[in-house]
Amino acid sequence: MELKQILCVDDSEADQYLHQYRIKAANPDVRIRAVYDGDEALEALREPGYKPDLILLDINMPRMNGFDFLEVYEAEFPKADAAVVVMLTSSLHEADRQRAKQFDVVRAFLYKPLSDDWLKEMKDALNSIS
Amino acid sequence: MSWTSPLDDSDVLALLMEHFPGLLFVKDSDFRILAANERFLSLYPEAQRPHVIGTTTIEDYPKAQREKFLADDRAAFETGATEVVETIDFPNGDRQTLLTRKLAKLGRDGKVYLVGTSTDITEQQRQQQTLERQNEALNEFAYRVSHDLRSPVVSSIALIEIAQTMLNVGNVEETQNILGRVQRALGQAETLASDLLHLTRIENQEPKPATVDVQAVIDASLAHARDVYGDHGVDIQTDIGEIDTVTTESQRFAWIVENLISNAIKYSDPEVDKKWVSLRLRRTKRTVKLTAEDNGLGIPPAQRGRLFQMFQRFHPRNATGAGLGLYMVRRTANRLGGNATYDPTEHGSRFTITVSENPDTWN
Repeated sequence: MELKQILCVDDSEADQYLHQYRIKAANPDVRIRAVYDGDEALEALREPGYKPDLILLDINMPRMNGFDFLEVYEAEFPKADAAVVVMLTSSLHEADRQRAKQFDVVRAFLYKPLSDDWLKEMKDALNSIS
Repeated sequence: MSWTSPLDDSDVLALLMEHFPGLLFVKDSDFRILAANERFLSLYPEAQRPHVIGTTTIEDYPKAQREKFLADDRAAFETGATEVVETIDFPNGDRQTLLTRKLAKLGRDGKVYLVGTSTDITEQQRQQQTLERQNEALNEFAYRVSHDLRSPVVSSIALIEIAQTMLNVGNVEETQNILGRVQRALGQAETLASDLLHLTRIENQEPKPATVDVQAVIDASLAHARDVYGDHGVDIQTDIGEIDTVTTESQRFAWIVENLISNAIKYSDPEVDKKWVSLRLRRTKRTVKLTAEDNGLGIPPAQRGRLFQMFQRFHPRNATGAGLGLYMVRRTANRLGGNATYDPTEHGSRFTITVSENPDTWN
Protein backbone atom coordinates (compact mmCIF):
# COMPACT_ATOMS: atom_id res chain seq x y z
CA MET A 1 0.00 0.00 0.00
CA GLU A 2 1.30 3.40 -0.99
CA LEU A 3 1.70 6.14 1.53
CA LYS A 4 0.73 9.38 -0.14
CA GLN A 5 -1.04 11.38 2.52
CA ILE A 6 -0.47 11.37 6.24
CA LEU A 7 -2.51 13.18 8.87
CA CYS A 8 -0.45 13.95 11.97
CA VAL A 9 -2.57 14.53 15.05
CA ASP A 10 -0.48 15.90 17.90
CA ASP A 11 -0.78 18.92 20.15
CA SER A 12 2.96 19.39 20.38
CA GLU A 13 4.44 21.79 17.87
CA ALA A 14 7.85 20.30 18.49
CA ASP A 15 6.61 16.78 17.76
CA GLN A 16 4.84 17.86 14.60
CA TYR A 17 8.14 19.25 13.37
CA LEU A 18 9.90 16.00 14.31
CA HIS A 19 7.34 13.84 12.50
CA GLN A 20 7.59 15.95 9.37
CA TYR A 21 11.38 15.90 9.43
CA ARG A 22 11.58 12.12 9.74
CA ILE A 23 8.87 11.45 7.22
CA LYS A 24 10.30 13.81 4.63
CA ALA A 25 13.79 12.41 5.15
CA ALA A 26 12.59 8.97 4.14
CA ASN A 27 10.02 10.03 1.59
CA PRO A 28 10.01 13.63 0.34
CA ASP A 29 6.89 13.11 -1.74
CA VAL A 30 4.50 12.29 1.07
CA ARG A 31 1.95 15.02 1.80
CA ILE A 32 1.67 15.75 5.49
CA ARG A 33 -1.10 17.61 7.22
CA ALA A 34 -0.74 18.69 10.85
CA VAL A 35 -3.66 19.10 13.24
CA TYR A 36 -3.43 19.72 16.95
CA ASP A 37 -6.19 17.74 18.60
CA GLY A 38 -9.04 15.29 17.97
CA ASP A 39 -11.49 18.08 17.14
CA GLU A 40 -9.27 19.44 14.40
CA ALA A 41 -8.60 15.94 13.09
CA LEU A 42 -12.31 15.22 12.71
CA GLU A 43 -12.84 18.54 10.96
CA ALA A 44 -10.13 17.68 8.46
CA LEU A 45 -11.38 14.13 7.90
CA ARG A 46 -14.89 15.36 7.28
CA GLU A 47 -13.71 17.50 4.38
CA PRO A 48 -14.98 15.86 1.20
CA GLY A 49 -12.02 14.86 -0.91
CA TYR A 50 -9.59 14.58 1.99
CA LYS A 51 -8.68 10.99 2.61
CA PRO A 52 -5.30 10.30 4.21
CA ASP A 53 -3.78 6.83 3.99
CA LEU A 54 -2.39 7.01 7.47
CA ILE A 55 -3.21 8.84 10.67
CA LEU A 56 -0.45 9.29 13.21
CA LEU A 57 -2.34 9.78 16.43
CA ASP A 58 -1.12 11.09 19.76
CA ILE A 59 -3.05 10.27 22.91
CA ASN A 60 -2.71 13.20 25.29
CA MET A 61 -4.20 16.25 23.64
CA PRO A 62 -6.44 19.02 24.98
CA ARG A 63 -10.15 19.24 24.19
CA MET A 64 -10.44 15.88 22.44
CA ASN A 65 -7.74 13.31 23.15
CA GLY A 66 -6.67 10.34 20.99
CA PHE A 67 -9.12 7.86 22.45
CA ASP A 68 -12.08 10.22 22.32
CA PHE A 69 -11.18 10.85 18.69
CA LEU A 70 -11.09 7.12 17.94
CA GLU A 71 -14.54 6.58 19.44
CA VAL A 72 -16.02 9.19 17.12
CA TYR A 73 -13.91 8.16 14.14
CA GLU A 74 -14.86 4.48 14.32
CA ALA A 75 -18.53 5.34 14.78
CA GLU A 76 -18.65 7.86 11.98
CA PHE A 77 -16.42 6.45 9.26
CA PRO A 78 -17.19 3.06 7.72
CA LYS A 79 -14.34 0.60 8.06
CA ALA A 80 -13.68 0.40 4.34
CA ASP A 81 -13.09 4.13 4.14
CA ALA A 82 -11.13 4.46 7.32
CA ALA A 83 -7.48 5.26 7.22
CA VAL A 84 -4.97 3.17 9.08
CA VAL A 85 -4.22 4.61 12.47
CA VAL A 86 -0.86 4.34 14.13
CA MET A 87 -0.70 5.63 17.67
CA LEU A 88 2.43 7.59 18.34
CA THR A 89 2.68 8.58 21.94
CA SER A 90 4.96 9.34 24.82
CA SER A 91 2.57 7.60 27.19
CA LEU A 92 4.19 4.74 29.06
CA HIS A 93 0.89 3.64 30.64
CA GLU A 94 0.26 0.00 29.83
CA ALA A 95 -3.46 0.71 30.14
CA ASP A 96 -3.21 3.03 27.15
CA ARG A 97 -1.66 0.31 25.03
CA GLN A 98 -4.42 -2.07 26.01
CA ARG A 99 -7.10 0.47 25.30
CA ALA A 100 -5.67 1.11 21.84
CA LYS A 101 -6.01 -2.59 21.02
CA GLN A 102 -9.77 -2.29 21.31
CA PHE A 103 -9.99 -0.13 18.21
CA ASP A 104 -10.03 -1.97 14.91
CA VAL A 105 -8.50 0.91 13.00
CA VAL A 106 -5.40 1.06 15.17
CA ARG A 107 -2.66 -1.04 13.58
CA ALA A 108 0.33 -0.15 15.67
CA PHE A 109 1.30 1.51 18.91
CA LEU A 110 4.63 3.30 18.76
CA TYR A 111 6.59 5.33 21.25
CA LYS A 112 7.89 8.76 20.41
CA PRO A 113 10.07 9.86 18.85
CA LEU A 114 9.58 8.32 15.41
CA SER A 115 12.61 6.23 14.64
CA ASP A 116 14.73 6.61 11.52
CA ASP A 117 13.23 3.32 10.61
CA TRP A 118 9.73 4.68 10.76
CA LEU A 119 8.95 3.89 7.17
CA LYS A 120 9.54 0.20 7.79
CA GLU A 121 7.41 0.32 10.92
CA MET A 122 4.60 2.01 9.01
CA LYS A 123 4.77 -0.55 6.23
CA ASP A 124 4.62 -3.33 8.77
CA ALA A 125 1.57 -1.70 10.32
CA LEU A 126 -0.12 -1.22 6.97
CA ASN A 127 0.52 -4.78 5.92
CA SER A 128 -0.82 -6.26 9.11
CA ILE A 129 -4.35 -6.65 7.93
CA SER A 130 -5.94 -9.27 10.16
CA MET B 1 -10.96 -18.79 74.88
CA SER B 2 -10.88 -19.22 78.64
CA TRP B 3 -12.81 -17.03 80.93
CA THR B 4 -12.94 -17.32 84.69
CA SER B 5 -14.19 -14.53 86.86
CA PRO B 6 -15.30 -14.22 90.45
CA LEU B 7 -18.51 -12.59 89.27
CA ASP B 8 -21.73 -14.25 88.26
CA ASP B 9 -21.65 -14.79 84.55
CA SER B 10 -25.13 -13.30 84.33
CA ASP B 11 -23.87 -9.97 85.78
CA VAL B 12 -21.08 -9.87 83.27
CA LEU B 13 -23.43 -10.81 80.49
CA ALA B 14 -25.86 -8.05 81.42
CA LEU B 15 -23.03 -5.53 81.23
CA LEU B 16 -21.87 -6.90 77.92
CA MET B 17 -25.34 -6.87 76.43
CA GLU B 18 -25.80 -3.24 77.38
CA HIS B 19 -22.41 -1.90 76.35
CA PHE B 20 -21.40 -4.07 73.43
CA PRO B 21 -20.72 -1.60 70.59
CA GLY B 22 -22.98 -3.45 68.22
CA LEU B 23 -25.94 -5.78 68.02
CA LEU B 24 -26.26 -9.01 69.99
CA PHE B 25 -29.00 -11.48 69.26
CA VAL B 26 -30.03 -15.10 69.53
CA LYS B 27 -32.31 -16.85 67.03
CA ASP B 28 -33.95 -20.25 66.89
CA SER B 29 -34.19 -22.52 63.87
CA ASP B 30 -37.48 -20.89 62.92
CA PHE B 31 -35.54 -17.60 62.65
CA ARG B 32 -37.35 -16.12 65.63
CA ILE B 33 -35.45 -13.68 67.82
CA LEU B 34 -35.22 -15.09 71.33
CA ALA B 35 -32.86 -12.60 72.89
CA ALA B 36 -31.45 -9.24 71.82
CA ASN B 37 -29.62 -6.31 73.36
CA GLU B 38 -31.00 -2.77 73.64
CA ARG B 39 -29.16 -1.61 70.57
CA PHE B 40 -30.85 -4.27 68.49
CA LEU B 41 -34.27 -3.37 69.85
CA SER B 42 -33.74 0.34 69.23
CA LEU B 43 -33.59 -0.38 65.51
CA TYR B 44 -37.33 -0.83 65.66
CA PRO B 45 -39.84 2.00 66.18
CA GLU B 46 -40.87 2.26 69.86
CA ALA B 47 -44.31 0.87 69.30
CA GLN B 48 -42.84 -2.28 67.79
CA ARG B 49 -40.15 -2.97 70.35
CA PRO B 50 -42.20 -5.06 72.81
CA HIS B 51 -43.06 -7.36 69.90
CA VAL B 52 -39.56 -8.08 68.62
CA ILE B 53 -38.63 -10.92 70.98
CA GLY B 54 -40.38 -14.10 69.89
CA THR B 55 -40.92 -13.04 66.28
CA THR B 56 -38.84 -13.25 63.14
CA THR B 57 -39.20 -9.51 62.39
CA ILE B 58 -38.74 -10.51 58.79
CA GLU B 59 -41.89 -8.70 57.65
CA ASP B 60 -40.34 -5.37 58.62
CA TYR B 61 -37.87 -5.58 55.77
CA PRO B 62 -38.28 -5.37 52.00
CA LYS B 63 -38.54 -8.69 50.16
CA ALA B 64 -35.02 -8.76 48.71
CA GLN B 65 -33.51 -8.08 52.10
CA ARG B 66 -35.69 -10.78 53.74
CA GLU B 67 -34.40 -13.39 51.29
CA LYS B 68 -30.85 -12.45 52.12
CA PHE B 69 -31.40 -12.67 55.87
CA LEU B 70 -33.04 -16.07 55.62
CA ALA B 71 -30.37 -17.36 53.26
CA ASP B 72 -27.62 -16.29 55.59
CA ASP B 73 -29.35 -17.69 58.66
CA ARG B 74 -29.77 -21.03 56.87
CA ALA B 75 -26.10 -21.00 55.88
CA ALA B 76 -25.15 -20.37 59.50
CA PHE B 77 -27.23 -23.32 60.68
CA GLU B 78 -25.75 -25.51 57.97
CA THR B 79 -22.09 -24.60 58.15
CA GLY B 80 -21.93 -23.67 61.80
CA ALA B 81 -20.56 -20.17 61.29
CA THR B 82 -20.92 -17.28 58.86
CA GLU B 83 -19.44 -13.83 58.51
CA VAL B 84 -20.93 -11.31 56.10
CA VAL B 85 -20.80 -7.63 55.32
CA GLU B 86 -24.32 -6.36 54.75
CA THR B 87 -25.93 -2.97 54.16
CA ILE B 88 -29.32 -2.81 55.81
CA ASP B 89 -32.14 -0.29 55.83
CA PHE B 90 -33.55 -0.68 59.32
CA PRO B 91 -37.20 -0.22 60.30
CA ASN B 92 -36.31 2.95 62.21
CA GLY B 93 -34.96 4.55 59.03
CA ASP B 94 -31.25 4.00 59.72
CA ARG B 95 -29.01 2.67 57.02
CA GLN B 96 -25.90 0.88 58.23
CA THR B 97 -23.19 -1.31 56.81
CA LEU B 98 -22.60 -4.11 59.27
CA LEU B 99 -20.08 -6.85 59.78
CA THR B 100 -22.29 -9.71 61.02
CA ARG B 101 -21.09 -12.96 62.52
CA LYS B 102 -23.36 -15.86 63.40
CA LEU B 103 -22.52 -19.05 65.24
CA ALA B 104 -24.71 -22.10 65.50
CA LYS B 105 -24.74 -23.46 69.02
CA LEU B 106 -26.42 -26.40 70.72
CA GLY B 107 -28.83 -25.27 73.43
CA ARG B 108 -29.48 -26.99 76.74
CA ASP B 109 -32.68 -28.33 75.18
CA GLY B 110 -30.76 -30.12 72.44
CA LYS B 111 -31.94 -27.70 69.76
CA VAL B 112 -29.60 -25.56 67.64
CA TYR B 113 -29.63 -21.80 68.00
CA LEU B 114 -27.82 -18.94 66.30
CA VAL B 115 -25.83 -16.45 68.34
CA GLY B 116 -25.08 -13.33 66.35
CA THR B 117 -23.13 -10.09 66.60
CA SER B 118 -23.14 -7.15 64.24
CA THR B 119 -20.78 -4.18 64.32
CA ASP B 120 -21.30 -0.98 62.41
CA ILE B 121 -18.56 -0.52 59.80
CA THR B 122 -20.36 2.19 57.82
CA GLU B 123 -17.84 4.89 58.68
CA GLN B 124 -14.89 2.59 58.09
CA GLN B 125 -16.18 1.68 54.67
CA ARG B 126 -16.79 5.29 53.79
CA GLN B 127 -13.25 6.23 54.77
CA GLN B 128 -11.85 3.30 52.85
CA GLN B 129 -13.74 4.37 49.75
CA THR B 130 -12.48 7.93 50.16
CA LEU B 131 -8.91 6.70 50.50
CA GLU B 132 -9.24 4.50 47.45
CA ARG B 133 -10.61 7.40 45.46
CA GLN B 134 -7.85 9.71 46.64
CA ASN B 135 -5.22 7.13 45.84
CA GLU B 136 -6.57 6.75 42.37
CA ALA B 137 -6.59 10.53 41.91
CA LEU B 138 -3.02 10.67 43.14
CA ASN B 139 -1.89 7.98 40.74
CA GLU B 140 -3.62 9.71 37.88
CA PHE B 141 -1.96 12.96 38.90
CA ALA B 142 1.49 11.40 39.07
CA TYR B 143 1.02 9.89 35.65
CA ARG B 144 -0.13 13.14 34.09
CA VAL B 145 2.68 15.12 35.63
CA SER B 146 5.41 12.73 34.63
CA HIS B 147 4.01 12.52 31.13
CA ASP B 148 3.61 16.26 30.69
CA LEU B 149 7.09 16.95 32.08
CA ARG B 150 8.77 14.19 30.13
CA SER B 151 7.16 14.88 26.78
CA PRO B 152 8.76 18.27 26.00
CA VAL B 153 12.11 17.01 27.26
CA VAL B 154 12.03 13.95 24.99
CA SER B 155 11.07 16.14 22.05
CA SER B 156 13.86 18.57 22.86
CA ILE B 157 16.48 15.83 22.85
CA ALA B 158 15.34 14.67 19.42
CA LEU B 159 15.24 18.26 18.14
CA ILE B 160 18.77 18.96 19.32
CA GLU B 161 20.04 15.90 17.45
CA ILE B 162 18.54 17.29 14.29
CA ALA B 163 19.99 20.73 15.04
CA GLN B 164 23.42 19.12 15.25
CA THR B 165 22.88 17.53 11.87
CA MET B 166 21.84 20.90 10.46
CA LEU B 167 24.88 22.59 11.93
CA ASN B 168 27.14 19.93 10.44
CA VAL B 169 25.89 20.80 6.98
CA GLY B 170 26.06 24.52 7.66
CA ASN B 171 22.31 25.16 7.68
CA VAL B 172 22.35 27.90 10.29
CA GLU B 173 18.84 29.14 9.58
CA GLU B 174 17.23 25.80 10.23
CA THR B 175 19.42 25.30 13.29
CA GLN B 176 18.09 28.54 14.71
CA ASN B 177 14.54 27.55 13.90
CA ILE B 178 15.01 24.28 15.73
CA LEU B 179 16.65 25.88 18.75
CA GLY B 180 13.64 28.19 19.00
CA ARG B 181 11.40 25.13 19.15
CA VAL B 182 13.58 23.58 21.83
CA GLN B 183 13.28 26.76 23.84
CA ARG B 184 9.49 26.72 23.60
CA ALA B 185 9.27 23.04 24.51
CA LEU B 186 11.48 23.44 27.57
CA GLY B 187 9.57 26.57 28.51
CA GLN B 188 6.46 24.39 28.70
CA ALA B 189 8.17 21.96 31.03
CA GLU B 190 9.31 24.88 33.17
CA THR B 191 5.80 26.33 33.34
CA LEU B 192 4.39 23.02 34.50
CA ALA B 193 7.07 22.56 37.14
CA SER B 194 6.53 26.09 38.39
CA ASP B 195 2.75 25.65 38.50
CA LEU B 196 3.15 22.44 40.46
CA LEU B 197 5.32 24.21 42.97
CA HIS B 198 2.68 26.90 43.30
CA LEU B 199 0.04 24.23 43.79
CA THR B 200 1.96 22.68 46.68
CA ARG B 201 2.17 26.11 48.27
CA ILE B 202 -1.56 26.62 47.92
CA GLU B 203 -2.19 23.29 49.59
CA ASN B 204 0.47 23.36 52.28
CA GLN B 205 0.76 26.91 53.49
CA GLU B 206 -1.65 28.39 56.03
CA PRO B 207 -3.10 31.65 54.75
CA LYS B 208 -2.48 34.48 57.24
CA PRO B 209 -5.02 37.30 57.36
CA ALA B 210 -3.94 40.87 56.78
CA THR B 211 -5.57 44.19 55.91
CA VAL B 212 -4.91 44.53 52.22
CA ASP B 213 -5.08 47.71 50.11
CA VAL B 214 -7.05 46.32 47.17
CA GLN B 215 -6.39 49.12 44.70
CA ALA B 216 -2.65 48.73 45.18
CA VAL B 217 -2.84 44.94 44.82
CA ILE B 218 -4.97 45.13 41.70
CA ASP B 219 -2.71 47.75 40.11
CA ALA B 220 0.36 45.65 40.79
CA SER B 221 -1.29 42.48 39.49
CA LEU B 222 -2.38 44.21 36.30
CA ALA B 223 1.09 45.58 35.71
CA HIS B 224 2.62 42.16 36.26
CA ALA B 225 0.15 40.41 33.93
CA ARG B 226 0.84 42.97 31.23
CA ASP B 227 4.58 42.50 31.66
CA VAL B 228 4.38 38.77 31.21
CA TYR B 229 1.70 38.51 28.53
CA GLY B 230 1.76 41.91 26.87
CA ASP B 231 -1.80 43.06 26.62
CA HIS B 232 -2.80 41.97 23.11
CA GLY B 233 -4.67 45.25 22.86
CA VAL B 234 -7.10 44.27 25.61
CA ASP B 235 -8.61 47.18 27.47
CA ILE B 236 -8.69 46.46 31.20
CA GLN B 237 -11.30 48.24 33.31
CA THR B 238 -11.44 47.99 37.07
CA ASP B 239 -14.18 49.03 39.48
CA ILE B 240 -13.64 48.42 43.18
CA GLY B 241 -16.73 50.31 44.29
CA GLU B 242 -16.60 51.60 47.86
CA ILE B 243 -13.94 49.14 48.97
CA ASP B 244 -10.70 50.40 50.49
CA THR B 245 -9.19 47.45 52.21
CA VAL B 246 -10.04 43.79 52.42
CA THR B 247 -9.13 41.27 55.10
CA THR B 248 -7.46 38.55 53.12
CA GLU B 249 -4.10 37.02 52.31
CA SER B 250 -2.29 39.47 50.12
CA GLN B 251 -0.25 37.11 47.93
CA ARG B 252 -3.15 34.78 47.21
CA PHE B 253 -5.53 37.61 46.45
CA ALA B 254 -2.97 39.18 44.12
CA TRP B 255 -2.44 35.84 42.45
CA ILE B 256 -6.16 35.36 41.81
CA VAL B 257 -6.42 38.80 40.22
CA GLU B 258 -3.35 38.20 38.09
CA ASN B 259 -4.59 34.83 36.91
CA LEU B 260 -8.00 36.22 35.90
CA ILE B 261 -6.44 39.13 34.03
CA SER B 262 -3.82 37.02 32.29
CA ASN B 263 -6.49 34.53 31.20
CA ALA B 264 -8.58 37.34 29.78
CA ILE B 265 -5.55 38.56 27.87
CA LYS B 266 -4.43 35.11 26.67
CA TYR B 267 -7.90 34.06 25.60
CA SER B 268 -9.09 37.30 24.10
CA ASP B 269 -10.69 36.90 20.71
CA PRO B 270 -8.20 37.85 17.96
CA GLU B 271 -11.10 38.54 15.59
CA VAL B 272 -12.62 41.19 17.83
CA ASP B 273 -11.58 44.81 17.39
CA LYS B 274 -12.36 46.18 20.81
CA LYS B 275 -11.22 43.57 23.30
CA TRP B 276 -11.95 44.26 26.94
CA VAL B 277 -12.01 42.72 30.38
CA SER B 278 -13.75 44.30 33.33
CA LEU B 279 -12.86 43.54 36.92
CA ARG B 280 -15.42 44.37 39.59
CA LEU B 281 -15.04 44.09 43.35
CA ARG B 282 -18.02 44.15 45.70
CA ARG B 283 -18.50 43.31 49.34
CA THR B 284 -21.59 41.77 50.97
CA LYS B 285 -21.29 41.37 54.73
CA ARG B 286 -18.02 39.48 55.09
CA THR B 287 -17.84 38.05 51.60
CA VAL B 288 -15.85 39.79 48.90
CA LYS B 289 -16.86 39.05 45.35
CA LEU B 290 -14.50 39.56 42.42
CA THR B 291 -16.10 39.37 38.99
CA ALA B 292 -14.01 39.24 35.81
CA GLU B 293 -15.97 39.57 32.63
CA ASP B 294 -14.60 39.66 29.10
CA ASN B 295 -15.54 39.49 25.43
CA GLY B 296 -12.99 36.79 24.65
CA LEU B 297 -13.13 33.27 23.33
CA GLY B 298 -15.31 31.85 26.11
CA ILE B 299 -15.60 28.13 26.80
CA PRO B 300 -17.56 25.79 24.48
CA PRO B 301 -20.62 24.30 26.27
CA ALA B 302 -19.40 20.71 25.96
CA GLN B 303 -16.22 21.54 27.84
CA ARG B 304 -17.65 23.58 30.70
CA GLY B 305 -17.94 20.63 33.05
CA ARG B 306 -14.15 20.24 33.05
CA LEU B 307 -13.34 23.89 33.51
CA PHE B 308 -11.91 23.73 37.02
CA GLN B 309 -10.24 20.34 36.72
CA MET B 310 -6.51 19.75 36.48
CA PHE B 311 -4.65 19.56 33.18
CA GLN B 312 -7.48 21.02 31.13
CA ARG B 313 -6.78 23.36 28.25
CA PHE B 314 -9.55 24.73 26.09
CA HIS B 315 -7.89 26.89 23.47
CA PRO B 316 -4.58 25.20 22.80
CA ARG B 317 -3.93 27.21 19.67
CA ASN B 318 -4.35 30.55 21.36
CA ALA B 319 -2.06 30.10 24.33
CA THR B 320 0.19 27.62 26.01
CA GLY B 321 -0.02 26.62 29.63
CA ALA B 322 -0.03 23.60 31.87
CA GLY B 323 -3.81 23.53 32.28
CA LEU B 324 -3.69 24.07 36.04
CA GLY B 325 -4.64 27.74 36.35
CA LEU B 326 -8.37 27.54 37.06
CA TYR B 327 -7.95 24.51 39.29
CA MET B 328 -5.54 26.55 41.37
CA VAL B 329 -7.81 29.60 41.36
CA ARG B 330 -10.63 27.53 42.78
CA ARG B 331 -8.41 25.84 45.38
CA THR B 332 -7.05 29.22 46.43
CA ALA B 333 -10.57 30.64 46.79
CA ASN B 334 -11.72 27.51 48.66
CA ARG B 335 -8.91 27.89 51.19
CA LEU B 336 -9.98 31.49 51.75
CA GLY B 337 -13.52 30.33 52.53
CA GLY B 338 -14.91 31.03 49.07
CA ASN B 339 -15.27 29.55 45.59
CA ALA B 340 -14.71 30.14 41.88
CA THR B 341 -17.43 29.74 39.29
CA TYR B 342 -17.92 30.38 35.59
CA ASP B 343 -20.86 31.73 33.65
CA PRO B 344 -20.96 32.06 29.87
CA THR B 345 -21.90 35.49 28.58
CA GLU B 346 -23.10 36.42 25.14
CA HIS B 347 -19.63 37.18 23.85
CA GLY B 348 -17.21 35.71 26.32
CA SER B 349 -16.79 34.65 29.91
CA ARG B 350 -17.59 35.72 33.41
CA PHE B 351 -15.61 34.34 36.31
CA THR B 352 -16.88 34.98 39.82
CA ILE B 353 -14.48 34.49 42.71
CA THR B 354 -15.61 34.85 46.29
CA VAL B 355 -13.37 35.01 49.33
CA SER B 356 -14.33 35.42 52.95
CA GLU B 357 -13.02 38.17 55.21
CA ASN B 358 -13.69 35.94 58.19
CA PRO B 359 -10.53 33.92 58.82
CA ASP B 360 -12.60 31.37 60.77
CA THR B 361 -13.96 30.15 57.46
CA TRP B 362 -10.48 29.74 56.00
CA ASN B 363 -9.07 26.23 55.88
